[in-house]
Amino acid sequence: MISEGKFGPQEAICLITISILSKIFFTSPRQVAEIVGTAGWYMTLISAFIAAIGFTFVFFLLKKYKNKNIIEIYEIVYGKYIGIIISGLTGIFFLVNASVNVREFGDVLKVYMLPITPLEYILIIFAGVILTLCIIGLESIARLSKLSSYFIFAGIIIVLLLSVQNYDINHLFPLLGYGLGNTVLHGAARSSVYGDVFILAVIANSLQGINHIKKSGYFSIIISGILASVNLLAFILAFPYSTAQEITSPMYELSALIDYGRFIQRIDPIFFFVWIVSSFILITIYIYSFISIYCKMFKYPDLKPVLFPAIIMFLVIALIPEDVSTVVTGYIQSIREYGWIIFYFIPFITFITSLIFKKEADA
Amino acid sequence: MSKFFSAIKNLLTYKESLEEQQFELLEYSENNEKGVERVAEQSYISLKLNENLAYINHRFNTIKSQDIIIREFKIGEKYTAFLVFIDEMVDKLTVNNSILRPLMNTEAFQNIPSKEIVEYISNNVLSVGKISRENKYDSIVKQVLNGMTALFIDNCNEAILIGTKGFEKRNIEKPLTESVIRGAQEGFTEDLGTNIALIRRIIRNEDLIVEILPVGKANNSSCAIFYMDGITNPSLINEAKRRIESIDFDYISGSGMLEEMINDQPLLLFPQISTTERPDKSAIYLLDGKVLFIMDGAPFAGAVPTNFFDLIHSPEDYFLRWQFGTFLRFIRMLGIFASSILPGIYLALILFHHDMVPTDLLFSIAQSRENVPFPTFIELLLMEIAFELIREAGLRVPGAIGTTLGIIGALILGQAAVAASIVSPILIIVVAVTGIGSFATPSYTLAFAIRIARFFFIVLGAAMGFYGISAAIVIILGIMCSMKSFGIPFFTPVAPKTNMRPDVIIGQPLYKQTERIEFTNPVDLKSAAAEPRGWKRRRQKDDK
Amino acid sequence: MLKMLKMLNLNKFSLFKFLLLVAACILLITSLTSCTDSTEVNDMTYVIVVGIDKGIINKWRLTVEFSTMKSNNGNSGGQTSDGKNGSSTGNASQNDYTTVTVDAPSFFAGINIINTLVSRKLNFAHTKMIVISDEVAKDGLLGQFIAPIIRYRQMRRTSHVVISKGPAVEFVKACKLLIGKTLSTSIETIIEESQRSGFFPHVTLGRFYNNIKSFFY
Repeated sequence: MISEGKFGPQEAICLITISILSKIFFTSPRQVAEIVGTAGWYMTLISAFIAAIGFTFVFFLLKKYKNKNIIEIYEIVYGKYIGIIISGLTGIFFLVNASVNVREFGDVLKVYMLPITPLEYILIIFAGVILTLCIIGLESIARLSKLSSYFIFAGIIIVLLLSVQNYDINHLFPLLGYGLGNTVLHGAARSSVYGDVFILAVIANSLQGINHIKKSGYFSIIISGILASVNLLAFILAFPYSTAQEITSPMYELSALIDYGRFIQRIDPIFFFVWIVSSFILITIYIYSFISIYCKMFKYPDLKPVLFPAIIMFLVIALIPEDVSTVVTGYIQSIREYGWIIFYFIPFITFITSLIFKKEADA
Repeated sequence: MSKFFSAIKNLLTYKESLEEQQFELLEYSENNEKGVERVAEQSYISLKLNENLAYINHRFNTIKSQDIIIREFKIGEKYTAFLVFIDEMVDKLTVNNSILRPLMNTEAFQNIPSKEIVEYISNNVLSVGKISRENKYDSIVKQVLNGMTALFIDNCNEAILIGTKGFEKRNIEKPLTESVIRGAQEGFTEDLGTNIALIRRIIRNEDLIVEILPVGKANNSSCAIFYMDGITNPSLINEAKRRIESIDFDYISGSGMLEEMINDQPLLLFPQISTTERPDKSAIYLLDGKVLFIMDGAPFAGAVPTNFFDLIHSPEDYFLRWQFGTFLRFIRMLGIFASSILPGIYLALILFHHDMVPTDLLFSIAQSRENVPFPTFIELLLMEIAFELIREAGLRVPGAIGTTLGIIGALILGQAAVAASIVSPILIIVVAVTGIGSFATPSYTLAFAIRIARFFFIVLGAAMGFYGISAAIVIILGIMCSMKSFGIPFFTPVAPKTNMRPDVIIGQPLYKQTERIEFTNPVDLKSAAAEPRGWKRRRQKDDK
Repeated sequence: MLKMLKMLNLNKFSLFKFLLLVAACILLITSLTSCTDSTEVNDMTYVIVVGIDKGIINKWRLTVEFSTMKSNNGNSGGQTSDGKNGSSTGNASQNDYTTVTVDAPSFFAGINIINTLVSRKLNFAHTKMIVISDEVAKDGLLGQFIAPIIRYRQMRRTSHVVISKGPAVEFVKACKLLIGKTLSTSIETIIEESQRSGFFPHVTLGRFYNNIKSFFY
C-alpha cells in the first residue's frame, strides 16, 4: 500500500475548498449564466446542499467500515471483480476530469494571457509541476495548499471588495431566473462541482479518525459554498446576464474592471497568481486521486512508476478536444451535469447494498 | 652586457640535458613507505620505561615531527620518568612551574615506595587542576594531541595525564555575520572551551548538559552537544547523538561540515539546520527545546530542529519592543520577497504583461530601451551576474575597499553601464533592490538559497510570464513543504498547525510569551506563570 | 541506437542519467521557444485614442493616435517635430504624438493596414478613449462596431466612450498635448473632470456595452 502520510483537518479543509473554488475562476460562471440566468448565486447553494446530502452517504460508508478508504470498501461490498470495475470507473473519471479541466485552464490562459503560445507548452509546464508535486507526496500537497490558502482567500476577497464600484443591483432581477424548476434541476445536476469532497474518501487513511473526515467534509462544502455563491453574486451584479454569457472568464473581467483613479487600474495580472496556483492544486489533487485509486485497486506499494504514464495519458486526453467552445459547452458541461453519478450515486448504491446484504468489515 | 648575452645563450642554444627531471606525482606504491621499522602495536602501557619511550617515539614519529617534545628527567632524583607534550599547545608556565618543579623536588619523595608513586604524585605533588590516569595508548595519544601532558614513570603501568591546554587563540570579538544594534556583542570563537564557557555564562542552570563527542577520523576533533535536561525531548537528543556518532569521515572541522553530514536532505537547496554565531541566540534555541551543537574549528553553532520562521527571526526582535520587532520582521519578509521574486516579476511584466504597467512608466521604459541593444532577458542576466561577481570579489579585497566595493561599486558600475547604453536605468534599480533584499535576510544560508532560487524564477518568468512564475512558486514552495528537519516539517507552525505561540510574523509582548513552542514536542510546555509580571499581579490582589 | 548506447558499456544507472540529461536539454531548449509571446516593450507602440467614422472608400474610417517615442530620457533634450500632426506648443515634450487614419472594412482589417504602414505593432492595452462620431451613432451602427472590440483581448472595458459632434478624425486630431508631458495623463484628467462639471457623460466601454445589449431575447 502506498504510504501517504498524515495531516489534520485544517489542511484537508484548505485542500478541498481550494480545489472546489478554483473551478469558478474559469468558464463556469459563464455557463451558469447561460443555463439559469440571474439565479446562479442560489443555484450554487442548492448544489452545495445536494452535495452535502451525497457526502452524508459517503460518510456513512466510511463510518461503517472504519479506517478503510473507499476503494477497499468497494471491494468489500461488491466483491473483487465488480469492485475493480467500479473503482476503475471512478479513477478514469478523475483522470478525464483533470484533463478537461486543464484544457479549460489552458484555453482561458491562451485567451487572456498568452495568445500565441502553443497549447502544448502550457500543458507541458503544467505536467512538470504536477510531476514534482506528486513525487513529493500527498502530505506536502496538503501543506502547500494550507500555506497558499491564505493568499488565495485574500485574493478572492480583495477582488470582490475592490469591484464594489461596478455593482448594480438592478442586474440581479429577475430574481428567479429562467424559472425555479429550471434552477433546482440544474442545481441538483451541477452538484458535482462540490464532488471533490469525495477525494476525502479516497485518502481516508491519511486523516486520523472519522471525526476529522466529517469535519473536513462539511466545513469545506460550507465554506466553498458560501464563497462560490458570493462570487457568482458578484458576477451577476457586475454584468447583466446577457453580457455575462459572452465573457470567457468572468472572474478575469471582474478584476479587469477595477479602476480607482490613476494608479489602481489594470491590476488583473496580480490575480493571475491566485488563479493559477489554485488550479495547480486542483488538478494535482485530481491526478493524485487517480494514481492513488489505481495503486489501491491493484495494491501497489509505490506510486512512482505509475506517475509518468499517468501524466502522459493526462496530456494526451487534454489535447483531444478541438477548440474552446467544444470544451466549455461540451466536455465541461457534461462532466458537471453528470458527475454526480460517480460522486454521490455510486456511494449511495454501495451503502444501500451494504445494508441489504449485510457485508461486514473484514476482521 | 655579457650577462645579457649569456642569458640569451642559455635560453636558445643547445644544452646537455641535466639530470633533474620534472616532478611527477605517480601512484602510491609500496616502495615509498616510511622507512621506520614497524614496531609491534601496543595498546597498554608496559612497565618498562624504555619500551614506552620507544613506542611513544614510534607512535608520534618523532624522527619526522619535531614539535613533539619528550622530556626525560628523574623524579626526586630517584625515579626515571618522561613527559610527552606538544610544544606550542601547552601552557609553558604550567609545565615548568606546576609539573617539573614539584616533581624535581627531592624532599617530597623521600620515603615513597615505588608502587605508590603514581598515587602519591597525583594526590600530593602535582599542583594542577585537571588530572587523570590512563593506561591505554590510544587515549593517551589523543589527549596529548589535544594539548595535555602525559607523564610516564618507570615501573608504573599507568600514565598521568595533566591538563595544560594553552594554545593561542582568537579573542572574543563581535560576530561577523549577525550584528545587532541593541543586544550582546559577543560572538563565538574557534575554541570549543571558550564557546562552552560563553553559553554557560548565559544559561546558569545545572540542567544544561554538555556532552562532548569525537568527530572526524583523521583530525580527531570534538563536537559539543548542548541540551536542557527536562525541556528537550529525549528522542531528539538520541537521534542527534546517533547521527553525530555514526559519522565516519576523515576531516570534519567546524559545524558547517558537520551540518552537511547530518542533515536530512542534503540535495535540497534550503538549509535544515539553523546556524548562529551568537551565544544569546543559541541560548534562546536551547530554551526552546532544541539541541545545539558546536564544533572545534569554526565559530558557528547549529541548532536542530529548525523551521522556516526560525530562519527569518533575529534575536533583535526579542531585545526591542514588540512593535519594533514586528515592523522589522515585515521589512525582512519584504526583503526576502524582493530578493527572490522581484527580477522574475520585472521580466514578466516587461515582456508579457504590458498592460499592468502604468502608462507613463511604460513610455519612459520604452524610451530608455530605445538605445539598448540587448533583449531584456539578456540584460537582466548580465547585470545579475555582474552583481554576483562584485559581491564575491568584495569578500577578497582587503581592508576598507572591500566593504565599499559591495553595493556602492555595483551601483556605480550600473550607472556607467546606463550611460553607455548597455542597460536601461530601471534595471539597475531592480538589481540593486534585489541585492539589498538578500542582505536583509538574517540567516546566511537561507539568503544563499534564495540567491540561487532567483535564477530559476528569472528563467521561468522570461519563458512564460506570470504563469511561469506561478509554476516556479508552486514548485519551490512544494519542495520546501516536503522538507523535514529532524522530523519536523519545514513550515511547522503554519502548515501542520500546532498550538503555536503566535510569534511567527507578528511579534508579541514578552510577557505574553508564556508557553514554549510546541513543535519541538518539549517535555514541559509551560515556561512562565500566566502573568509573569509579578508587580501587576500583586496590585490586582491588593485592589480586591 | 539503444544498442549503440549499450555497447558503450554504460551500466544501467548512468544510461538513465544520460537519457534524463538529454530530456532535460530538449525541454530547456524548446521551452524558450514558448516565449514567442514575449514582446519587447519597444516592439510595440501604444495607442491612446481610437476614433471611428463612417468611411468614404470603405465601411469604417479608423483613426488612431499614438506616441512616436522620439526624444530619449533627457540625455539629448532636443525637440523633434515629426509626423503628420505631432508637434506640441509650449515646452519640450517627452513624446510626440501622431495620428493615422485609414479606411477599412472592419476594425481588425484596419489594424492590419496600419501595422503595415507603421513600423511597429499597435497595442491597445493603454487606450484611454474611444471616439465615435455622431453620424455612426445616429445611423445605429454602434452595435456593429462595438461587438468585435469588446471581445478583443487587448481592449479593456475601462476605457471611455465619447460621442463627438462632427467627424471623429477632427476630434482625434484636436487631442493635443497642452499641459504636461504625457498625453495619456491629460486625457485621463479631462475625463475625470466630467464627473465634477457634468458637461459630458462619464461612460466606460463596459457599462456602455451592458446598456446597449437588450435583456430580452
